[in-house]
Amino acid sequence: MIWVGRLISVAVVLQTIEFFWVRPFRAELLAPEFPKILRWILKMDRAVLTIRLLAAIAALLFPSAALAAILLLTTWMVAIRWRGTFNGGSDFMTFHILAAWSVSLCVPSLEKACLYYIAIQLILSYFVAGIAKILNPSWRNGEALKTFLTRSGFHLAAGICVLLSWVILLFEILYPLSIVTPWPFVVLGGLFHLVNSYVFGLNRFFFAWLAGYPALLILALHG
Amino acid sequence: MKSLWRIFIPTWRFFDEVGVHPELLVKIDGQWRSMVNRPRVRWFALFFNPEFGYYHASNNLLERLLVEVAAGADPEHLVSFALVRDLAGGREFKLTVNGESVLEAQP
Repeated sequence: MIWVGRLISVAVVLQTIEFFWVRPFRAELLAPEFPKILRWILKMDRAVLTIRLLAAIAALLFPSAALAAILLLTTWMVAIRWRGTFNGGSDFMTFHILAAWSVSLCVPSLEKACLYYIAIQLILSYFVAGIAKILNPSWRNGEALKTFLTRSGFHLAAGICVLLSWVILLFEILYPLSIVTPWPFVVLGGLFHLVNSYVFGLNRFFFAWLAGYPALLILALHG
Repeated sequence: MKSLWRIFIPTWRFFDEVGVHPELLVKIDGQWRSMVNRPRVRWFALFFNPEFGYYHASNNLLERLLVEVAAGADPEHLVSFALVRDLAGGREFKLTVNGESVLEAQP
């Protein structure tokens, strides 16, 4: 769990530095969506980001339940600031790994259960995505991937898109096998997120998922 | 209120639907200009890529506005509409899908 904590702290440091460069939605425009009692959160973004960054750096060096809890709380507050999430999946994974890490630090006897929780979320993240894709005919005939790539300025031949689509579909759907043979899936997963970072600008996913891999490896290799 | 709890329930469906890809066009000096443009990928983008994060967040906002308007909501009463108007810098804007205008707003 120590490596999960360190890696998710790195992910939070990088995410938070990015947030300092982004102009958030204006608080007064968001206010109608929130109960009055919670509207103060909307006006605190710089303070929340500063606390989050300092807590993540401190957690990297001296992990503790209090710091993990601060990271969890500030991650939630940042998500609220962006109407639920800033970048969808990477926020979900960051939050749920932080939640599991916080619980394991508060109640050390639950560490294994927390590792299971992270591993299950990790496996589900690929498996559910794969099932949702394979049910869509445009993924099976390569059209969906071609469209996504074209929107990102990449143009590949139709045949290559079909081939790549099926590689992605099989990789995601077979991901539950990672509990038996984790390394191929962890290595392929890392490459998958690196490519996604370059092609779709999804760099946050790489670090958030990287933080979950130690949980999968520990459970798969050591039970 | 959904914004408060959304992060507690993960959704792991990524890129499963091609969906619509709305474009925000803003009138600047009499010309329609795209406001949400794909940023350039830089060599350090794996570690630091705030422009892309904002690009995705802006596109999600446009898609959300489109869904809310399609569901019959009055745009003027939507937070999404106010945020898109702000994104457009308070200028005249329109939202297009495949070149067809689906929503227009005066400054």
